[in-house]
Amino acid sequence: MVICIIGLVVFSILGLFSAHWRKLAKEAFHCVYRTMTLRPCETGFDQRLKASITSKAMGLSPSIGKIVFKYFKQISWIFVFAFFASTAAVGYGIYNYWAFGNCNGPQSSAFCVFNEIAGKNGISINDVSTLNHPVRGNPSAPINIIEFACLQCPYSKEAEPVVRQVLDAYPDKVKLTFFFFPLPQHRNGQLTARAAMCAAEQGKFWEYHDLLFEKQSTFDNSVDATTAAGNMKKYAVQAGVNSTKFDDCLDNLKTQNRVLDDYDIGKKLGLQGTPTFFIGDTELVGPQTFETFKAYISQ
Amino acid sequence: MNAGKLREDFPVLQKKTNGKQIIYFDSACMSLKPRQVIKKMNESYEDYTACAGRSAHQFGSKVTEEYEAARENIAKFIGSKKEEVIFTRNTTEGINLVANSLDLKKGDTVLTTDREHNSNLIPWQVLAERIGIKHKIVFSKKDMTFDLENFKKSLDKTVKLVSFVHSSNLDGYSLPVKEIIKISHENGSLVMLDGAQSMPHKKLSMKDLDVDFFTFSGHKMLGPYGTGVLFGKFHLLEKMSTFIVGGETVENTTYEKHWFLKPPHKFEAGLQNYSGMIGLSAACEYLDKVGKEGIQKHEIELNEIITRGVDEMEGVTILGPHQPEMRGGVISFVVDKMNFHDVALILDKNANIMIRSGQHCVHSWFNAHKIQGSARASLYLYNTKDEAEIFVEELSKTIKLR
Repeated sequence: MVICIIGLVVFSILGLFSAHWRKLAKEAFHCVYRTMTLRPCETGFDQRLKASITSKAMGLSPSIGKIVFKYFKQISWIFVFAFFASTAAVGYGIYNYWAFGNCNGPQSSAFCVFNEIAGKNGISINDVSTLNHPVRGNPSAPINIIEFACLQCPYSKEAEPVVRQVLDAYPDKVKLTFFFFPLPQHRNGQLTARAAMCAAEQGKFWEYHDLLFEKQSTFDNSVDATTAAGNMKKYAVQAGVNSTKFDDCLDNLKTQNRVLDDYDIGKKLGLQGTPTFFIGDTELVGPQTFETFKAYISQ
Repeated sequence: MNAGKLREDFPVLQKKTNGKQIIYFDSACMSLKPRQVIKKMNESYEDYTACAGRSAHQFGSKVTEEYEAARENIAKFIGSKKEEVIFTRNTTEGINLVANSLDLKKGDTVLTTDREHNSNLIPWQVLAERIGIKHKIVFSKKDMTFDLENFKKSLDKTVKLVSFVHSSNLDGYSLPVKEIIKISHENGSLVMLDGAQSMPHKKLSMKDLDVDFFTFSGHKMLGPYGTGVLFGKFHLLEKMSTFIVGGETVENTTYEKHWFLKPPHKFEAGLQNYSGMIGLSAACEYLDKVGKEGIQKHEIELNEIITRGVDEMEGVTILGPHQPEMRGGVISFVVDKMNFHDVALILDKNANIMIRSGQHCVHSWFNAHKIQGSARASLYLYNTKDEAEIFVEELSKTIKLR
């Protein structure tokens, strides 16, 4: 059955990390071999896989479960084709990178993951100065967590309660330094960063930062720039910021440049998303559990 | 009988598997084990491991004592004499023992039904190939009940043995064995019953049944893996040849000769599964305490809930007679346009409900009826009404995937 081909690839990769998956990879291989030699897969591996996937789909909704069960073979074929197509694309990218130094071909300047992996733009977090960046917690704490976040990013917001928990748990040991990394896919990301920068000018960065996370839905991608800017100003007043100074600052070129400086640092560090945390040399991408932070802090 | 209370005796039912409690509906294949059985087995390993019947030291005496007490207890449980209880690994071994020791000759006939487990089919097919016995099948009626007239017609003087399944693992149907035994004896034929599915659920006395051979497995009746019993009338066992021979089966040997022990020992070669039989004896005690009449009634009540539920589902057919009381705790069913393995696996993955799927070792019946296989839920004393209701609900969700 076709599903075994996908199973073989997925479990082989996972098998690099755990013996549990290696066993499944072996079963998948057996099933692929039987299928290729036009014999049925007698271990029932394909049916078990189908049942597991159907059951997960039923958990989402009974109708999704029904579609998955009914069209399982067709869906499996789609995945197999997608797998071969993506393998071919990766192969082509590797060739381009080898031949032209860019995975998208000689004429392209688009994003190339290999550049990031190879650290072509590379700077290290140790090269980054944290001077003049907002700090939360005890400024003389020995461990500095550096966070790159976008105030419009739902994941940055999701990560926040644990960050606060960590700072509360280690009041004398840990502080947090904030860098802006407004992602291009967030249409108001730059605006929020500028606004927060202006609040910081008046010493109200964290109040404003917290307020923006709270009100995040009022400046998401469905909200146009003018309305979002209006909201920024409204929240500035709520956070106790002087509105005249704030308005002057918001569209100021200097503010824009300072946000872009942060963004450039993030790009040079090869960041792929927000939030990204650095504890020492360790980079943690996405919201983290308290235990994860705890583990790195204890190190 | 209070199933809810009994469940506390079964450690596996007190745990969560994959985050939730299991619903175990595969007892026709393997029953769960109560802590009383596990404790007795563990005790035998932890407190007195030795060889029974040969080592004279205190552990040797203790294990001999416990092992023979187990035989006595099991004999009491099945209404027989102690010497008539031969310990085996399973029902299959019991049937093979009779097949090989009964000294059947070329031209002798063995009758079986049309829905025998492979274990009560292949031994006769092999004997037919090897020594030329005749193996004949008594076909059931269309409603899958036993055809007594057909059976009577099949009986002639060449029929040396009637070897029937007592309760079928295919559909749970039980044969009218008392009548079958009486008619067979009138014809001068011996009767062996495959009691793998009946002994765990029915109150049975070998003496009352007047059956010649009866074989069953311990693991389907709360006992340990690899335990079984063959009952045989003593005068028949005495006359029968040995099957597997060697240590433990003889009184004495010279370089040329040997002198076999009396039954049951002449049939029990080599070192035996002491802890298994001690555990099986504990299982018999447990079942006796609960009462098999209550167990059977309970299973039928649950079967009624499931049968009612299944009746309302379109395209789901129960194999065998429709009345739950004729199928005990077995609900074997076929779902139109859905593979039986898919039904079982999705119930397992989705709701932690464990049922069996396939041909249940009755390939011959499925092949003859051109049915690929079935899904089978089988119940026991530890199952509850809630579980039966959840099963109906989950099965109804599963078949909607079609």
